[in-house]
Amino acid sequence: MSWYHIPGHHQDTVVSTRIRFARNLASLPFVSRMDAAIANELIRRVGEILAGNGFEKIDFLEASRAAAHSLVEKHYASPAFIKVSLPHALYLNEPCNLSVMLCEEDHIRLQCILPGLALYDAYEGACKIEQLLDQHFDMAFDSRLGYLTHCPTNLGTAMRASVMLFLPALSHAGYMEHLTAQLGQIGVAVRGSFGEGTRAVGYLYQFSNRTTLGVDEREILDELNEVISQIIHTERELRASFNEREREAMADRVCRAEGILKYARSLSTEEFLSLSSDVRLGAAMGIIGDVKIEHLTALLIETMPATLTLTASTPPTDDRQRDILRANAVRERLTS
Amino acid sequence: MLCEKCKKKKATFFYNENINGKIRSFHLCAECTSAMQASGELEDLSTAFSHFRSPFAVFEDGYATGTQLPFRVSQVAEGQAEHQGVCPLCGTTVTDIVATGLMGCAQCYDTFSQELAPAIRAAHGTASHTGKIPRTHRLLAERRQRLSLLKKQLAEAVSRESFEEAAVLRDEIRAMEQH
Repeated sequence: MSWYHIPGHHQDTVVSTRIRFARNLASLPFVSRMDAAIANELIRRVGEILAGNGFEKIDFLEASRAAAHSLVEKHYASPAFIKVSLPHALYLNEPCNLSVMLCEEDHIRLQCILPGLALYDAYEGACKIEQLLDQHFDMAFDSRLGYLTHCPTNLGTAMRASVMLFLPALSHAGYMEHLTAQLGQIGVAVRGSFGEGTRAVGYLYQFSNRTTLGVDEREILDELNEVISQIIHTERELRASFNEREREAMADRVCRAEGILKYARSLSTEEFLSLSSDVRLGAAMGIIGDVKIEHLTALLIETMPATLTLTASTPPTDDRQRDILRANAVRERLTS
Repeated sequence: MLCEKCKKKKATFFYNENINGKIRSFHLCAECTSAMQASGELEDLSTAFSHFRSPFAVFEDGYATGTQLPFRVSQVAEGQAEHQGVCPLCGTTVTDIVATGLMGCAQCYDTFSQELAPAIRAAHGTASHTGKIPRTHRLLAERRQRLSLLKKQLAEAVSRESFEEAAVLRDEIRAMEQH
């Protein structure tokens, strides 16, 4: 059971919440100045504490390509982590909602990820690990600049809070570009979760705080929560108005999507993202009654290329085979 | 450190430039800086940042990644310990920082505080940290507060002529300061 199997608050609109902290040990050079010996020493010292507190180590240098990419797909590690050449390791807790990357851009990047809207719970979760490590290690810190990070842009709280939102109505109405620009002015960054640049496949967007210095952690959470609450409200209102005006068209679209997902024999990643988002909307609006939103979130992760490859009894060798496996996984989940 | 150009006056300006990978850096006095700007040898400060909105890269996966810092001239404060352009702890030079946008170690923030000031101001404004504090710094801050309180109490006890109380306080202060 991982974070993506569990239902979350406001899951008709919010897929997941992530709180991340960056920390560096005061006694060691930053990652760009480390050699393999120092990196291994860091992993040994910090790893010892984490291992003694319910975390399991995943050595990223030794992990298979599929395993490493799968951990990125599940949002436990960043895409950049795979490209690190120094020794680096990921620590994951058993409920799979807390992960710690060692030797990514900073010595320590810890995060808590939870389903739905859960800024304060995710914050509490991340703080537990942050405090545990603070007890054992002297962190690089300056009273004016805050926590000292490898890149000066992350100074201060060195905290990033982000929420993945599902916004089909706002996207369809063409509001996202304007919204992105407006929110940028008040310190909230918006980008598509999947796809390059502003293309948001499946109407999924990542909203995160931009400011890390000069605000305290609670302020960051409160401001982001305020913005997200307003967006959720607007999205729901827009959906309701679309439903009133275009009920039949909407029902047709989402039910056709459900039909394809239930019966297709081959599905590409992009096709699945697009169709499952239609079904998600249908389920959120009560048009589709036999699909649970948390099942769609689970499929979102489980049908990603590397994760699919890992769980297959015979590893697929090309996209075509993967597309067939994807369709199988979807069919199984939706018709059980 | 003396001005690299005239070798007579004290260097109070540190100029760093990275244009298409070609890196130049100088330590200059005020007069030579103006002269070089007038002759075009140095970029004019007033246009330096006109086409940069932020010296750091766009967010990737929620965190900003280092990128080339644009050229900048920053004023070295009088009496600041001269670092000769190298961090004493990790060996990072200013040119390294300009090339990658990344610091070498925690000490770099102190070593290059003057050079970094404009870049940090551009990214964070004049903000100071108001969030969590690590345990070691909390303990230091608490200790400083306690000492300050004890000293205040000592002064009060002395003025009240409660010399026994004052002696106790003085001993406590001494013990803390020796620790």
